[in-house]
Amino acid sequence: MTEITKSNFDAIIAGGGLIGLAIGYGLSRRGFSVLLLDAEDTALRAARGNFGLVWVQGKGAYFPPYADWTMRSSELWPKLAGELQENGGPALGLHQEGGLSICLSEAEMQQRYDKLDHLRAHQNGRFKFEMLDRTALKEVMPGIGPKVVGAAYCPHDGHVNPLYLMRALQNGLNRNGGVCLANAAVRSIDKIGNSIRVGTAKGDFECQRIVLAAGLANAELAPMVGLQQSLKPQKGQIIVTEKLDQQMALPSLLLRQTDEGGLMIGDSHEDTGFETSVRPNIVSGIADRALATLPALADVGVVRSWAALRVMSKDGYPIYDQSEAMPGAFAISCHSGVTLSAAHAFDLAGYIAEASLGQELDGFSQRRFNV
Amino acid sequence: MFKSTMPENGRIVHLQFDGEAITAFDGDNLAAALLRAGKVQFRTAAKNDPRGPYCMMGVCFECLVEIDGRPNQQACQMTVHDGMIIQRQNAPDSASKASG
Amino acid sequence: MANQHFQIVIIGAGPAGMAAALTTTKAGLETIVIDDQKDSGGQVYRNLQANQETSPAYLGQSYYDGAKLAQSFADCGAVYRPDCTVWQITDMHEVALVSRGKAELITADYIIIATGAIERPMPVKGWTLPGVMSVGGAQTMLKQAALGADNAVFVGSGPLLYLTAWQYIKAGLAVRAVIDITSAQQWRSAIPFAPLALLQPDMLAMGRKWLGDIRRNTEVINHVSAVEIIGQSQAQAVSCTLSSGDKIDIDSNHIFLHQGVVPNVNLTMATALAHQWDYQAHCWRPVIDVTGKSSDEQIYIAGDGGGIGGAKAAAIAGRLAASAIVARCGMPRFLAQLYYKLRHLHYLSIRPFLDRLYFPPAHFRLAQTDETIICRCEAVSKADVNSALASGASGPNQLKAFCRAGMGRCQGRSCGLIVQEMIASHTGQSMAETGYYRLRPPVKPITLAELASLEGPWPD
Repeated sequence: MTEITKSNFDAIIAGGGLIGLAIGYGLSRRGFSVLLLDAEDTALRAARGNFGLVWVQGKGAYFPPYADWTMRSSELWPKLAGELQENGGPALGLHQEGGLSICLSEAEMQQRYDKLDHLRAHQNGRFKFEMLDRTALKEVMPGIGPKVVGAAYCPHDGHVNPLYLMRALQNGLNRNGGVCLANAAVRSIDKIGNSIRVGTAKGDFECQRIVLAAGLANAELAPMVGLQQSLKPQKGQIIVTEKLDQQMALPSLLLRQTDEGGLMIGDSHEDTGFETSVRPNIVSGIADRALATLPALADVGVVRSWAALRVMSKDGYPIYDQSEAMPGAFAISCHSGVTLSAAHAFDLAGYIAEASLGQELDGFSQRRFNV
Repeated sequence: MFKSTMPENGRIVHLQFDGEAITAFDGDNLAAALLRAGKVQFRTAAKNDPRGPYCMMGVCFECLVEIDGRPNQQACQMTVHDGMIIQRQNAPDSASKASG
Repeated sequence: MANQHFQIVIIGAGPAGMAAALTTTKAGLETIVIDDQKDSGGQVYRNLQANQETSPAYLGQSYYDGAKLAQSFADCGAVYRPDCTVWQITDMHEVALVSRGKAELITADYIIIATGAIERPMPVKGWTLPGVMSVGGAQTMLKQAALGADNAVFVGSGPLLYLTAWQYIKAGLAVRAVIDITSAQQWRSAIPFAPLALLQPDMLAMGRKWLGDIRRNTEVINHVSAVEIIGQSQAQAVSCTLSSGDKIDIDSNHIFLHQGVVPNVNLTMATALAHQWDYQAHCWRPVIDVTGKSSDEQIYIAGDGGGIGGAKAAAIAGRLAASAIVARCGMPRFLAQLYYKLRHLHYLSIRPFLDRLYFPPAHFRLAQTDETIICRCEAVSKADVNSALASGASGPNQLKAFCRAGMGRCQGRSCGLIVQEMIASHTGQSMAETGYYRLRPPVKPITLAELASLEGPWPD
């Protein structure tokens, strides 16, 4: 058990999920002393419910700053993976060889094309994609079923093991002298002179930077630093199969094969509040679509399922804010914690280190909802 | 050495285990039939990690074999039938473990 | 297609489930009993009806005592669905099951979960080798298939171990040795509770008979403090360390392990029912009132699944839960409930003594060597778990995320308690504080085709 001997840190991170860990790691590699505060082992934890896509296609189609930010993160990802592994972390299983969005109807194909075309238009040639018809898709995925019409292929997409990513970030943070406290949810945040004091069940700590990265709990924490984050839970259900020989060379939006061999299959978008029950009808529908995509999976066993709550803002884009009432306080939330890990670890941590989010991230402020 | 504790009787049925012909009695529990035939290893969990039945009640998932082409069948939950073709189930080649 | 509805859905056709069905059907409540085995009886009365034809005496009288219950169950008029796997109970009291490749949802007014117990894991080096089985597995082979092994070594402690070794001896098999891990200290801590145990003299007498016959028929090695199983492609020998420090190696291809049974909590935990850590029995159990009612008003738990008590206690618990439900359906059962409560207490009176006497020793609850496999399904070793702990995993779910322990098909049935023990030991937290894996459906694997076959209509 980590024994805390000091109470002063350069930065305190509230939240031990992908956001908190990436930023914590990013600050620690810049020489900041970091304390990461985490809630209970059984708290909501969107990070542990993550599908694992490092996904570019479609993101920010109607919000260019998000498209730019996503692309940036995708380009930085190899650097993050390499660095974490050099630091002794586990292999992350990062693959960035492209991804597919598989369509089971002409209508889906059209919708997908329209969205990606729109995205391409404002990306100045940076964003590439290709619509694959059935014949072309069959070359990449020989096992597709008769209902599959085609897919959108994007060379920028990829996937990674999100749980090992968490472990690797944790490992990197530890290596750089970061301290983590479990069962230490934040109770109070106050300005004390030039510092910020954070009260928890495990004691009070002082810092120069406080980063709120507590997922849905940010809605309660943000006001403590004079900010607001309107977040709502959006439930998604996922099923996981037993391990198989390779079935899919590329990940798709709803179906990907992990390095260990299991298939992860999603998903749903449900508005049911803070409950995380697995509903048979939903997972049945998920299974049904998977079988329409790859009929040979009929006898494959589902060994696990879960429901997790996406941290959703009103428009689905991240909310990055810094407090004016409490300089040095930041509130960060998004639902693409895996894809944005690299941008968070490198760029965002850099801004936080400078105590200024800068123009690049202006469009992500909660203020955009106050129009 | 597995050994019957009651006189063996019943209709003989013919099975194949990894290509080898073995016999069992109609209505036998599959895992027990394989053990009686001297087959203790049913699969591998990874290279050099041999496994066989452990709990005989369906909770440990060690006794997985492929039956008539269907993988991941718990042998201890199956009853033999004449002509059953059983294959040892070996860990997929893609199985890898990240070390940390 | 509309879902089927029953007033009472009983999950498990062991003594608790069968007895519960007798009470509910007698009261006229529409009852269905779902079980994953092909015949009724659960584990304790496994294959009872078939065995009655040949009646091998070595199975012992308590086994055949279950015959009357099994026959009454067969005649009671409950709908009986064998060979069905329940994979979820939803928050709307729908029981999701798979039968012959097709998924169904059955809705219930009341659910009685009677899914029994599983063995406590015993992580010794080499325990995954072919030829190593749980003692329960060895006993099931005997009941199900009249199959045993010559020259087997029984390792561990607890009534099931002595019973099975005794059954082996009576069946004419040559038992090579019984390696007992009970320490002298455990005897001392149990003795104060012996008077309570005297309320069940028949149980004590049976135990003494088993131990006596074992001592006369095989080598017994007592107070063993460490065990390793040696072999490459299968078990070849077992090496044990005595209290003196000396080591003995015994050649055998059949090693049977046992250190107690614990409630099978996978279905109850995946159903989000409240659980508590039982310090006396050192295991998880659902939080239930004296009639077996869980933290959900509509769900009862009966038998070993609610707390270890054995077959007779399980049958009474089934009756008790069923009577409570019958009373709630407008047919009071005061006297019957009182009778069942008293009988239940009686059958549990030996537990304080047994739980202390056969309390699993710390060094057998934790693995003793780095190479010992902890999570069998994912082949995660003690060293791997320690590495995850060193990386900062502070709870079972974080540990699962870090090293995959608990992610396999068995959903933690084989590793959960070991992992919990390791985390508690590492962090200094109590077992209760450490907690357990967050279990989710499906509680047993089902195929994508089976899952996709579920039809509506869906209640909103």
